[in-house]
Amino acid sequence: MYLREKMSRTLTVRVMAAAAVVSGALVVMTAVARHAAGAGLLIADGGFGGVLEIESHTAEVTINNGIAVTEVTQVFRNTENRQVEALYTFPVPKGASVADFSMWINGKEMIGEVLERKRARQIYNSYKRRNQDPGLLEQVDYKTFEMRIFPIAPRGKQKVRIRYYQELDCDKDWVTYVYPLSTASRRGLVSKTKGRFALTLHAKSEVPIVAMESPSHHDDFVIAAHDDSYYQASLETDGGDLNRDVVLAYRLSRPQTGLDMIYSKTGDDDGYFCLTLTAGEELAGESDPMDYVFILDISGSMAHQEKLKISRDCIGAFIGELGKDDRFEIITFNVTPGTLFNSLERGVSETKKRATEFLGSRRAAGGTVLRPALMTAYRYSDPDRPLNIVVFSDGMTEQGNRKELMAALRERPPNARVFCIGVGNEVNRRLLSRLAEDSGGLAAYLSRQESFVRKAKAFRRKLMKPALTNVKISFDGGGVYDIEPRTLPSLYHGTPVRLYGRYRRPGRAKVKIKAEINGAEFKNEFDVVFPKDEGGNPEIERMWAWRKVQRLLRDSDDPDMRQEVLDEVVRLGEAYSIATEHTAFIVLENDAEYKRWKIRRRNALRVGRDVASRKSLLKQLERMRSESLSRLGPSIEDGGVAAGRPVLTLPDTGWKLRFPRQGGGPVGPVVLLLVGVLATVRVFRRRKDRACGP
Amino acid sequence: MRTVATGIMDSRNDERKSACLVKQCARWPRFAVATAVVLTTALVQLQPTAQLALEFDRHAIQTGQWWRLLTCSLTHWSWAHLAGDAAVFAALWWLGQGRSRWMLVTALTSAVAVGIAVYVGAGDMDAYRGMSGVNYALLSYVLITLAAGAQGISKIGYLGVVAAVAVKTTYEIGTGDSLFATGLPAAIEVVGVSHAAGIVVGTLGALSAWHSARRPSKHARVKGMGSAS
Repeated sequence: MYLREKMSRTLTVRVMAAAAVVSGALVVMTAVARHAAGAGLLIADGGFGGVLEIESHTAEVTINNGIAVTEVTQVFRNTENRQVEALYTFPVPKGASVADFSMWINGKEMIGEVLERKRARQIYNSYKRRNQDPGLLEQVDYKTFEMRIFPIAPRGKQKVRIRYYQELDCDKDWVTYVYPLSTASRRGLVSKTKGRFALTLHAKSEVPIVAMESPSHHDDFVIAAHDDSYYQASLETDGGDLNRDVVLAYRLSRPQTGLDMIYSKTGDDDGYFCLTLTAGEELAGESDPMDYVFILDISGSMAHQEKLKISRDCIGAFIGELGKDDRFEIITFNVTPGTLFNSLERGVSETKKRATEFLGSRRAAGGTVLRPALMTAYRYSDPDRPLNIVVFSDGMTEQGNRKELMAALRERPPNARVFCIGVGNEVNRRLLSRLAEDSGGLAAYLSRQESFVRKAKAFRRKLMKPALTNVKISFDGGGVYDIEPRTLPSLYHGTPVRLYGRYRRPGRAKVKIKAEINGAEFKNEFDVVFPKDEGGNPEIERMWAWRKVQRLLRDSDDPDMRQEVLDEVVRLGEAYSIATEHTAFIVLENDAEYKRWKIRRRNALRVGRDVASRKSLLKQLERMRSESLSRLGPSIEDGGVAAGRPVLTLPDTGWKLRFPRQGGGPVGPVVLLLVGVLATVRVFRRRKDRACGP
Repeated sequence: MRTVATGIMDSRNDERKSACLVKQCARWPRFAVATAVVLTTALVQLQPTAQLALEFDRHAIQTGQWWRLLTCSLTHWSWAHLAGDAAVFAALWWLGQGRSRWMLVTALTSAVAVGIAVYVGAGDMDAYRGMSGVNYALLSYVLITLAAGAQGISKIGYLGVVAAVAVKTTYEIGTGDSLFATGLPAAIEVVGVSHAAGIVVGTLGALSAWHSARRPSKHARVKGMGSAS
């Protein structure tokens, strides 16, 4: 009996223990499953496991003089009870230069510095081993940056800030800003912010703005027109979707024409300038019929992010704009090309309909080999008409193929130009841009959320209007040097060409422009004044450096020049705090650590100037907003109360609602000074008052 | 005779000692007042509830909370505002220590006068905080008293400074703005009438003190009686 009881008790204990283990496992599995579903673009890396969330994600964008400065602030939260390393991957807009990376350590913002990439990585790893607080930001490929932060404490938070600069796409009278978010990281991941997602955009323009809209988020954006030179747009959500690009476009009252110069110069250093040249009436000539060959990439990579669908729709929109006398053909390719008509056909409704059906039947599969398709397109060349080869691709081709491609470009017929349109964020921009620029064409990039109909129209308009080709700009005076780009692209109607450079001598100078338009020579001259001092546009210094770095990286394909070029890229990256494929940002715990590694605080100084300039601009915008607000409500002539105090009279009661006035009496600096002087005089005379007694 | 002479000598020594004692004892209340005022304003600044209870609030005064006319000088809009006022108050109090009784009367009177001036002269002002009206009163008091005891160019200098302060205050009343940076938070206006009230009260206080100082003292009367016996 005793033995039976004992066995029964033992069995009960074992069953209960097993049940506990199974229940515990179920709880753990459920927890892991839930957390895995919430991983998003942010993962805990380095073998620690754990799960991170994006607690808040805010972006503030300021657009001035066609250059957008985007400041992104994010807070990551560790939901686990152990410390983790965060790895955050994010796409970079076309033409953007990442210029600042900061982390908050012990409540203080620590600004990162740029170092040669391997050295930055070594320093980061050495800190990780010692469990100290480093941050690292690297460019992993042409489109993506990766941020590593270590450690994020158990249940702790980490705040980071990134700033980047970019030139905006301008198509005649539309300016488009894209904040890229969508990236094909992993299937099934939810890319949401748990807390707040907000984006505020300030657009300031010398040319009056007439409209602003968001093709991606429509009514989610609140748009305020403070002034015809200043529009503000704001989007704020809880639990924002981070898998959709944010696109904002604003329309100017007229396409900007002519030449604009902005400058930056401090102290005794040589100055920087940015010259923007936009074609105006000179190019408003007759448009002749042209030939078009549309090359559509239908390789497997085009299946992601609906790239194929968008490309098809864009070609369809483009073909819809063709005139009866234009001719076209469609070539699709993956490992081999295939044609629609096998000849050039006129842009009549019958052929357009066949083209639409053909495009609709294509599916994405296979590898990417562009060269045969390009060589096939060349065969359509008619010496009497310009041939526009428009390539729709993501450029995801192998390195070996790229070299063949560049060689193929050199074999094109003299009347042929290559235009490239990249879709989505997973695009090899460098390759596509080079293909276009080296052939006198243009490259354009479409976000999934953009209005491709408008883009297609704008692109077609560029192709229709005769362009300035062989553009050469020279300077008489100013000691100008280091101009980027060295070779200017063709100037198309409504699309500006930007030139950056440096100058040694402040004062008057002449800008001379020489080009060809339809074979005839075109000349023009402008007077400019290089200033002795200009602190208002520090961002153009980085843009100049970034342009130079991009050119050097293109030249690094040449194996003889490679090391010299890379050294110069690193030097520029460190001097101008630009993250590239060969330089990276490192954030250390405090100033003493930077000193220990002998890292100069160049970026901290540069950021100080950038922030001061930006504050000044934001103050100006604040004044513009206040002026705009002051125009609200009835004026004095309408019977309102004293100027400066808004009054709202409620019709039923006549009760006046007004804002309370608050006053104070400050002593001010003058009284302080006066009292100080009196007190000093009194001190000298005090000896007489102290004498007491016989 | 020697006894009488000795008695006279003794009484003179006693007079000097008692005068010194009076001076030394009189110092303590003067510094105590300045210290108490500065500490009180700091304590009030730490307590938002106290700030709201003591500041000039037009509506509250209209409902009978008259103490706010006096206590508004103990409240401030920010620590920077308080620091400037407290420093000037303490320095002026120290400068005027030889005349502390009249200074105390001037300071109290100016505190009330500032409240009344804001109530009457700044008709739309809903709230007011700051000790600058009292400081302007003390400043005027000190300068005019110094001018009374000075000669020639010094007298003109002191009076000139008072005049300049009056002109600055007139500018503030006329424009509603300050000539120089104030350090006040953005939404707070400069109230010139409070400074004007302070200047008036300070001037009157200084003139009263000067008039009072011209009357013969009781120590002199005692001395005269001692020598007769």
